[in-house]
Amino acid sequence: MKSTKILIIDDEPQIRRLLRFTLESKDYAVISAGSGLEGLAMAANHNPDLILLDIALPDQSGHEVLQELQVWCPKPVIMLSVLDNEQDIVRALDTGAVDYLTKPFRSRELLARIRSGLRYKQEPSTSPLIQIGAIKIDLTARTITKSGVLLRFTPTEYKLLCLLAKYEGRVLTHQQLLKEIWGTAYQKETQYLRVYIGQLRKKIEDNPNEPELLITEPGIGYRLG
Amino acid sequence: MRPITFFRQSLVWQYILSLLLVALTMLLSYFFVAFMGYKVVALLLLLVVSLLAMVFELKPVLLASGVSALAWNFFFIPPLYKFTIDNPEDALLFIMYFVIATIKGVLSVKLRHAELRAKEEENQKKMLLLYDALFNSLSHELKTPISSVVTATDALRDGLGQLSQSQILTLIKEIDMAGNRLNQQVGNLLNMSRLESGQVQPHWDWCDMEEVTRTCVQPFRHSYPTYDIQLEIMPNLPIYWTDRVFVEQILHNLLRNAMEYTPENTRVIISLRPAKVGFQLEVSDDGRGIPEEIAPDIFDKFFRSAQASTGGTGLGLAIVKGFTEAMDGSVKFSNRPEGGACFKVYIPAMHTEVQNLTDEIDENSDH
Repeated sequence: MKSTKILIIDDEPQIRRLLRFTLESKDYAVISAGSGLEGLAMAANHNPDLILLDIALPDQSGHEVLQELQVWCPKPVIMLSVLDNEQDIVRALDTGAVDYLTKPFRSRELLARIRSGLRYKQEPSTSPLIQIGAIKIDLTARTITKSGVLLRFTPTEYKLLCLLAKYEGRVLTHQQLLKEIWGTAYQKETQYLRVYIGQLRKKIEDNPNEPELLITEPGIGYRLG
Repeated sequence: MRPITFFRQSLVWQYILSLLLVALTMLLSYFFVAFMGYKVVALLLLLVVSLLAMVFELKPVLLASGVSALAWNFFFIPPLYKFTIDNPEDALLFIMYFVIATIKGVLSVKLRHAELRAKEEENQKKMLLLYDALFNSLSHELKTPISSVVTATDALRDGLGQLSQSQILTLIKEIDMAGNRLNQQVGNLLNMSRLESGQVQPHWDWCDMEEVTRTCVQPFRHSYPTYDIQLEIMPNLPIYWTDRVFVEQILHNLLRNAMEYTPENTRVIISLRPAKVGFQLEVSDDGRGIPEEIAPDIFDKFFRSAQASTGGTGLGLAIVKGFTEAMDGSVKFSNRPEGGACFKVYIPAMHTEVQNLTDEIDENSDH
C-alpha cells in the first residue's frame, strides 16, 4: 500500500530532521523543502497528501506560499508558526489552511492535527453519525446523546455543536463560526460565541470548568475533540 | 508637563511665545510705568527673560533678550519712541540690561542642559547596573536548562543499552522540563522587550474571564502539586471587552511569583470578581509576605529580593505592571494582616450581560 506523503516546508534543517524522524516513525512518507519556491515545486511534482508549512520562510512568507497553493493544490495545509502571533495564524486559517501548530509543539499534537487534517481534506465530514468521546450526534434524527442520555439544545447550540463536530479535531476560527451560525453581520460579535460555548460545555463536558471535548484555541477559535 | 514638552519640541512656538510674553510685559508696564518708573520695567523684563531661559532653548531666549532691550529703549527710555538715548546713565543701564539678560539667558539654558546630561549619565549608569543584573540572572536562567539538556542527552547516549526504562524516562523528563523552562524564560524576555519598546498594543476582544482564569491556573496545579491552589470566581460574570493575552500574562506571572517565593504546601488563592467598571483579579497566599522595606521596589525591572533563591530574572512583576498599565489598569501589593502577600489587579473594561445575548430557551428547541 502506498503510504501517505507529507511535504514539510521549513527553512530550519533541524526542525525538518526532527519532523521527518517523527513522521517516518509513524510510517508517513516525507519529503521536505527549505524555501517557499522549492516547496511549491515539490508540491507540484510530488503530489503530497498534506503539507506542513512554516509561516516564516526566507524567500517569501508562508502566507504567499499558502495563497499560491490554494490556487492549484487542493491538499490540506497545516501552518507552523514560531511566534504566538494570533493575527498571523487566524489569517492563514481564514485563507484556507486547515490547522496550525505553534512551535514548540508536542509530537502527539502534531500527529493528531495531521490525522484530522487528512481525514477531512478541505471538506467537512458527511457521515450522518458523529461520535466524539461520549457524545453521539445523529444528524438525520437530529439527536445528540451523551453516554446514551438524550441532551436538549437550543437551535443555536445545536447548529454550533454540529458545525464543530463536522470538522472534528480541526480548529475553526471565530470568524468562521460566527459567519456560519449567525451570519456575516456578526463576524465581530465574539461575545455570542463565548456565551454559547459556555452553555455547550455545561451540557456536553463532564466538568465544564476543565473542558476536554470543546477546546479553546486562545485568540483563534475552538476545536471539538 | 505636556504643554512644556510641546513647547520644547516646537522651536517656532518658542520664538512666538518669547515675543508674545515680552510684548505682554511691555504692554502691562506701559500702563503702570507712571507708578513704578521705567527702570523697574527693565527688572520686570529681566524676570521674564530669566523665566523663558528656564524652559526654552538658547536662540528664542537670546531673541527675547535682544528684542526686550530694544523695545525697552524705544518705549520707555527717554526720549520716548526713539532708539536714541540722551542720558549717559540710561545708556549704561541699557547696555547693562542687554548684557545681563543675555548672560543670564545663556547660563540658565546651559545649566539646564548640563543637568539633563548629568541625569542621562546617571540613568545610563543605572541601566548598566541593571544589565549586569540581567546578564547574571539570565545566564543562570538560560544556561541551567541548556546544561540539563546537554547532560541528559550525554547520559542517554553513554548509557545506550544499559539504562533501565525508568532511568531513560527520568532523563527524558529532565529534557522536557528544561525545554519548558527555556520556552517560558524566552517568552518572558520577549514580552519584556515588547513592553519596553512600547510596541504592545492591547488586542481587544470579548472575553470569558472565568474561562481565561481557569485555563491559566490549570497548568499550575500540575507543575506545583504540593501547593493548595484555590479559585474564587464570582458566579454569572458578564463577558468583558479586554485583552485575554495580557490578562493571562499578568495572572501567569503573579501565580509563578506566588509559587516560587513561598514554601511548599502554601495556600494560593486566585479570586476574580467584577469591579465598578471592569474586573478585579487577586492573587494572595499565606506565605511569609514581602518585607515592607522592599515592597515599593518589587515592580521594578530586574529587582530581586535578597531572600529569593537562585533563578528567576526579576522580570515577572515588571511584566505584570507593564501589561496592567498597557490596559489602563492598576496593580497593588499589600501584605495580608493574617500573613502572606496579596496582589490586586484592577482592569477597566466594558461588559455585556450574558442574558442579553441569549434569547432562546430549551423548550423552543425542536430536538
